[in-house]
Amino acid sequence: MDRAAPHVLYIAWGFPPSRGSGVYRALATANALAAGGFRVTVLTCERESFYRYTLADPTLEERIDSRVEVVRIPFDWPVMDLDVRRWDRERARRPRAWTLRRVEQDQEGFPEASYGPWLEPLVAAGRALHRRDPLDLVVATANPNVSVGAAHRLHTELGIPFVLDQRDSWTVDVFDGTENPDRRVHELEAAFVADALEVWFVNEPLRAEHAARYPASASKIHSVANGYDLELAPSPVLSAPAPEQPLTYGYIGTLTPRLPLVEFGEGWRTARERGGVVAGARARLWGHLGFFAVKDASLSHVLEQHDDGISYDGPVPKAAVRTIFEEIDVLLLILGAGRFVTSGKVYEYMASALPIVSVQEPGGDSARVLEGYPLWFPAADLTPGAIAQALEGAGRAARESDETVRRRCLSHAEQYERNRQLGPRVAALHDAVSAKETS
Amino acid sequence: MKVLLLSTTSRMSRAWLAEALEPLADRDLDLALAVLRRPAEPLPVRRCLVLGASLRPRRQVVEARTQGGPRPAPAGRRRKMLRKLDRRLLKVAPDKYGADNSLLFAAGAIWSPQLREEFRGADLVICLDLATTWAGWHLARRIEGPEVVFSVAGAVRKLAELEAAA
Repeated sequence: MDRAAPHVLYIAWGFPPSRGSGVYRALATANALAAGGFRVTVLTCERESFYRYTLADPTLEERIDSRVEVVRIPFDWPVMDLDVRRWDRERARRPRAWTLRRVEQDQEGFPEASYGPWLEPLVAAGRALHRRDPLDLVVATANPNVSVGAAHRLHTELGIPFVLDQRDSWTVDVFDGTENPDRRVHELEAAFVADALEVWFVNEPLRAEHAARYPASASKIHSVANGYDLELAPSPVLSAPAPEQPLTYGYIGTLTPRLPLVEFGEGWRTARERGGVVAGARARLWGHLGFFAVKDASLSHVLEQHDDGISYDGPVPKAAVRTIFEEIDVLLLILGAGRFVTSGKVYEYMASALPIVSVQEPGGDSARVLEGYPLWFPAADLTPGAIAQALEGAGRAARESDETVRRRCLSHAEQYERNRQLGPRVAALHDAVSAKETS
Repeated sequence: MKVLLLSTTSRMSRAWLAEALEPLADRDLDLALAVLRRPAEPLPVRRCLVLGASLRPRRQVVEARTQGGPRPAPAGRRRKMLRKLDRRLLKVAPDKYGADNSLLFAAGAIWSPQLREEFRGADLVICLDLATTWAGWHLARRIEGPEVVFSVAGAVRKLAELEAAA
């Protein structure tokens, strides 16, 4: 890499081998920065943290651009440390009180439970990297927001411009719209937004919400959708399945208690009872149960209750997801409620050119993205009848849609290819940093 | 893999145990169990040690019947007298001791030769609830060897960590 190229530090807690939901954006951003002419150093935590606390997918490390340097620093998550041999006496004797106290302590320096104590190690590592090879820009992805806290500190101490890439929202609950009650969080976010070179959100509703909150900074707040990665996206399905073959409806993604799985099950059974295309069909659900290393037992129960052609087929490594799409005729987009919720999987779904059934409370942002996709079948609400109707419509479309319709689906999806989302922003950052160096 | 479970759950049933261990269901485990109070029914474990709700250290633990196992000998006169004594002691003890399951469990666990023997022979010890970590921690300090974790979630993680390291 050209030593004259601007040097960017990308701070992300969840970076490969993490298998967390934000990792694909982090990976794509680091790679896009490298492709966009930056020398990229990623600051993240040690691999062991993902193996110990969340889950890891080692295959993702192979996808990091070879020009990207990854610096890993220790990350302690004592509350999540369940090894009793490592506990101190006080924790062993009164574990509940110890945990409550620890959560409070974590937030003394930075108001973010569990991650707060990581601020100082991040800042120290950032300073050391700047001494070794001066930084021209810092891009920090949240959450955790401590990454942005570190970028902001490097900005105030060393004058390095920074970009806040917010995949969620720190001040608003994206599912129910409630405000974060911690005053410090609001103050910090205001400072971050005011001082950032750019602020990115994952969808238009979040961008608009924050642009309204911070009108003086509105012009630098952008929507950078997750989009889909060309190399990971499914191959488009341009023909209908064989007529004698029963239809397979499929869901691919993390299954969490926020998803309306019970409602989906009821809608599915209603559709089967009515006969028609769904009667002989199967619904297969792939993905992790919950976000953490241990399966969410409440979800296991929900999935076990269904015996009308619904099966839970377990998690799939990201590298194998493409092959799973080949087994599906209709995609199930089952999402939690919330006007700020888009979900990353909607983009990959569209890239498949398959019919898509949305099962979500009306008002979610995925509807905006899917508007205009020719084979989109949203359930009008979460009643069994409405869900059944959407399932039937999509089933008929799977049988009847020809290549022309499916190519139109593909055209609609292409605007959300990840590089089309990230590319303009990376180019703008490169110009901004280069202009600063020239002046 | 030999696993020792520590629990203060009252009247433990087979269904409760199966649900608690569901995340480990695909593993071949040789289970032993130490509980504070007698389970509701014989459980599918190799050995079930009942510590008894008592503040008396060095008390003898009782082997409860396991699923498919032989019926244990009936309690003798001496054991019945001790049980009565334990109940009286708990009644007169201040609540902060008598109602403290963590203390009751630890008092029974730490000096029990049977439990120490099980602990020493285990590959993994799982403290199933917060009231058993005190006993688990004390035993871990005295006896080298087994991994000692809190909760089944901790066990899943520890096993994944060990497998990744291997």
